[in-house]
Amino acid sequence: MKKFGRSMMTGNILLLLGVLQTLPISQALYEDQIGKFDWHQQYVGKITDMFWDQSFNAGKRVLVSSERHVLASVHSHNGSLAWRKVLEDGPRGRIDKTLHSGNLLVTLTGGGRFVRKWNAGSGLADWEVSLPGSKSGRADLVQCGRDLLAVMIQDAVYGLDPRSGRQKWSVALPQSNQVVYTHLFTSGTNLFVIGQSLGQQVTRVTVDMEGVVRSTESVKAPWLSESTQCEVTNGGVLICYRSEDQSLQTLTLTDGQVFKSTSLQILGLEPSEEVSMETVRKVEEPLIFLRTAKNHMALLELTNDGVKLKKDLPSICAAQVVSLDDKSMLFTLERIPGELKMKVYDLETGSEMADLYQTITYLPQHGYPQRIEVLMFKKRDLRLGCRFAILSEDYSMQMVLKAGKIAWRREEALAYVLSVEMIDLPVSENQAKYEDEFGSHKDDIATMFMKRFKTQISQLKTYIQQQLQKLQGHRHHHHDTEAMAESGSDDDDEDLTRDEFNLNKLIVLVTGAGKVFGVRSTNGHIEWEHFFPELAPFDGNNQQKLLLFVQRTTAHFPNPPQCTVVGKHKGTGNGFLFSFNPISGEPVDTPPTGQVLNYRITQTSMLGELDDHFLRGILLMDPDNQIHVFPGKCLSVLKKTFGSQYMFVADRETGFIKGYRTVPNQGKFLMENVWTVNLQKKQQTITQVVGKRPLEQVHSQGRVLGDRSVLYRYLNPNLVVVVTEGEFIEQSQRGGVFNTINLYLLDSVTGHMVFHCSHKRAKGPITVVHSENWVVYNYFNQKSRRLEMAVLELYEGKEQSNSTAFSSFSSPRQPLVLRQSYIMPLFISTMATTVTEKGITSKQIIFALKLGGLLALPKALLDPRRPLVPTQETMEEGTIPYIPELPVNAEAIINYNQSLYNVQGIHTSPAGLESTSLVLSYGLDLYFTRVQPSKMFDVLKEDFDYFFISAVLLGMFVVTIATQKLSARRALSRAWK
Amino acid sequence: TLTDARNSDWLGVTRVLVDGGDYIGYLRSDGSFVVNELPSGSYVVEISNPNYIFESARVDISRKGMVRARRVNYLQFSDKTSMSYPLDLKDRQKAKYFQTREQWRITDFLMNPMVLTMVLPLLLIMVLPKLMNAADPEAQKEMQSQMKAFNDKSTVPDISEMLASWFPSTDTKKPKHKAKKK
Repeated sequence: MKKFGRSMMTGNILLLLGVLQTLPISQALYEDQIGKFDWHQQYVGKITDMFWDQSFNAGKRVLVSSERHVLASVHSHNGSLAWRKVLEDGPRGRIDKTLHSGNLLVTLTGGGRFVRKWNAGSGLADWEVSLPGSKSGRADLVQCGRDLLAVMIQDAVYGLDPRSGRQKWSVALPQSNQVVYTHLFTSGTNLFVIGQSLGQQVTRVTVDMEGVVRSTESVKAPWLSESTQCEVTNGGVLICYRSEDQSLQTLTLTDGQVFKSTSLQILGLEPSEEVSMETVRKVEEPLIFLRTAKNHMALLELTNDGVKLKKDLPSICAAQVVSLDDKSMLFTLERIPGELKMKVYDLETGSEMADLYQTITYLPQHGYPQRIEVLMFKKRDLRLGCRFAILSEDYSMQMVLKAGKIAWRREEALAYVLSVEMIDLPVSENQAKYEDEFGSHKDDIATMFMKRFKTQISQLKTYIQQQLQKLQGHRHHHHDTEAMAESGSDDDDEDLTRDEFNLNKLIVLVTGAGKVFGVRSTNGHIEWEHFFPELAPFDGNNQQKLLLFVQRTTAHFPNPPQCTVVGKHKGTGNGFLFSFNPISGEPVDTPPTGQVLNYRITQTSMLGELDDHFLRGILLMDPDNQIHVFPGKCLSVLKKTFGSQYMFVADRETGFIKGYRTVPNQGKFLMENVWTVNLQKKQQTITQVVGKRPLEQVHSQGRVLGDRSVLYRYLNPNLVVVVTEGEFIEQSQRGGVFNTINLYLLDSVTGHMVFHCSHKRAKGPITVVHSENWVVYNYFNQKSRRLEMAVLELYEGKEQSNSTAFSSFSSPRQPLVLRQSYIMPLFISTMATTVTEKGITSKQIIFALKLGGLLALPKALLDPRRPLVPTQETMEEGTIPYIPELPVNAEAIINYNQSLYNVQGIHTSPAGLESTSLVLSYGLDLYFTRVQPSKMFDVLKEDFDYFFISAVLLGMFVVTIATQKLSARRALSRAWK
Repeated sequence: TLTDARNSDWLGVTRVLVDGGDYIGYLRSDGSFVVNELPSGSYVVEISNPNYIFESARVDISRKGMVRARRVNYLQFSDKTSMSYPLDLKDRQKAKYFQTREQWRITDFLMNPMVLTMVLPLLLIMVLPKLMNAADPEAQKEMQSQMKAFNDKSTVPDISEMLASWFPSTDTKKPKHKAKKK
């Protein structure tokens, strides 16, 4: 937080303009590069509600609302988004209920605080009404006839006009401080509000269409508990499921006085742990689905005498009742290996409708289908046709338009990416042979020569083949595209081999849905996928984490690369591991369904050394401080190097950070606590712990100053940034509670506190970028009400203590810490820094703007050595004079007009070219691109004019020869004179 | 509560973000928006549109419900340049995301100062003697004799020829100019 005079500033700005022009502030794209190496995928998140659009052009679109606060319209023919509205991220944007019928699309959000009507065709808002909101967070919305919308919140019911949103009436609900109102239902000319009082009763309030309370009754229900699930079916029956004695309790809303109990056993159903109910809305009869397992459902009919089993649906995983022309049909989906069987039954007769039967190819990695949404229509020949969308366990949405075939699918799990790695593709077979030569030392010269000769011949052969293919390319390609259009498949048949500059990678994405994807970086197509229904992320303090380790890279041919996902088992909370080859996706070392450990994981780390097969083992620490090595064969490495294995655990609950070292104990390895730092949980909570990227490449050890001396960097690989946020009460006369932020730089091996700073009147959310010898972080300055960006740089000083390797035990004196802060004029959601192969290229910091852009700014702008008053010396050093506000221009936005919503992280990875860094931003959208922070200095630009250069060269050559001839002739003629 | 009216075709992709999306306003078909239920405080209203850059505004809502709008100034929070309220936010400019490709134009080449400094003297050397020659035959003779004397004196070996014989394919600029000067 700097103070500055006005006059000084204007001077600086003038100077800066001069400097900026010479400095490559940004490298922008050219317009013809759009889509050349970037791709963008838009998601909506796990779909909670889905409707076939009935308004705009019926059947052409599907309206969905999702868990990630998104309301969207999806084209039914190809799965692309017609429009998407992303609501607020916090509780304000949570969608409580979506209602769609006819032209009406209304959402209730924020716990009953906002009712919005949307235009289903364009996604624009028609009207918005704000209500007081529900204290319990339960709210409901129903439509009663053409001109009344009723909204229930905890203490009142409101009647709204669906055309204008005008409030027609409001009714206060009785005893709203004791009764939790949960359901709103309309039947005939009355509205019924259902309230629950745990262990006592169910309250039923009847309100008529004019907003007058007709009656308030309570029905005894002493069995009502937290785990009781209740639903209201069409026809006005309240049905509750008690998990304690596996019974169903029903109450007719219009005149029922007591609950009627029916046990599941009497119905002939197998009770289980996970019973749930799914309402049937499309027919008038009081029907409800009861789900007892992922693949067992039952259709129940509710009568005045209780519950009747209409149809038991064993091995059915999704079902829906649809009616068309007064005919009700039951659609059921059954999963058999590789396929889904869809059977349709006539509800009245119970007979199967054979003409609608179909089987659909279905990949096992989608898990069980959970929901099906059918659209029935009459074909021209008056036969029945249907289209349906399937929602599966892995958050995917699939659409069947023509019988038996999935037209498209949306992998909504990709909106929940938690970990990313970019893996080098393997070299081609030829190249591998070539490498092989250097691997073996047993061969004599003759065989080696033969080997070399053979590989080079085969290389020549492939080269010639490639050239031939290129010549014939046009024709072949044409055929290919035609074939592709017919089959509708995408061209994923090109094999996965490394390109010339190693720019194309395979991106491994681990998602919170328990799904792991391998995605090509060239086009974003999914190469392989695995789904683990039991895999869950570690979560603490609202931060979800699934860890992805690269145990072996692609560089160790013939050993295949290997990655491992570490998470926890959903049911037990124990560790869950899955190891795989990231290129092919095949499981290695662990079973294909993942391996469940018999202990919980408190901390993980990687071994410092590789084993004989270049595999880097993973260390897992259990709550008893015992160390486990995965895979087991890496234990020998730990035996050798346990002296240098340290770990630390930052506990958010207690505020303690504990450091551990490894000690052998009776053939096992235990972690022994060596240091403890107490960060005072009472005052603050740990929100961020950020280490450096392991094995980071730093090219330059120091920085040359204007006076030709070198300022050496403090490059401690064990340095960790710990951020805590807290509140403090101001002592001054005004008083009030303000937020405070503390930043600690800890050596994670020795526990040595390298640096500490504190920002008062500042609040998060904080993002920290920690790389090389610097830390960049942002916070919100509450005093000046602006976002600020602070930078810390650590230097050893003018002398370097140890130039070969850094050791935390003989660490240099307290490093010199330089710091400055800047104003960030735009709101950001996260940030990251670029990385390159050798770390020579200057760094850029990529900010994900809340406005939707990815802004890339050079690190030189966030340099604490930027002088307030530029002098000769600072000019020589090349620092830009200090101005408080960071410059933002549109050319620095690397995703141009492809706006990204709710970015949660940015992953950067080096490419084979030193100038290039690969960037993947994830969140609700995925966006991949390349950046060149110092422009492309190692390859000719793609618009390099070969023709012009060769023409000039040739011209020069011709002129030289011609003039030489001319001058010789002239000299000769002169000699004759 | 805020309102705003504006004509635009980009309604579908435009969002109104209050404090970076903590609160969002949704556009209606006439381009107006309302953000309801804001607690008292100071907010920054920004418009997010993929293709245009919009001006932003700071809106202060007092505890009593008084609302005022002013220009966003992060440097000096106390800057009170007020804006009309209800807000009427206009687009400032089209966002220029792309660099234009450098194109090779003959005028650029000719107007380059380097080229100018080289071409002008060359012109003087080549054209001026011709002009003088045409003017007066006697002067021409005199010149010729002078030139002869000059040429005779310069018995220094011709570099251009030497170079040309050494590297038949070199194409340095030097030989060319030497040759032309004769």
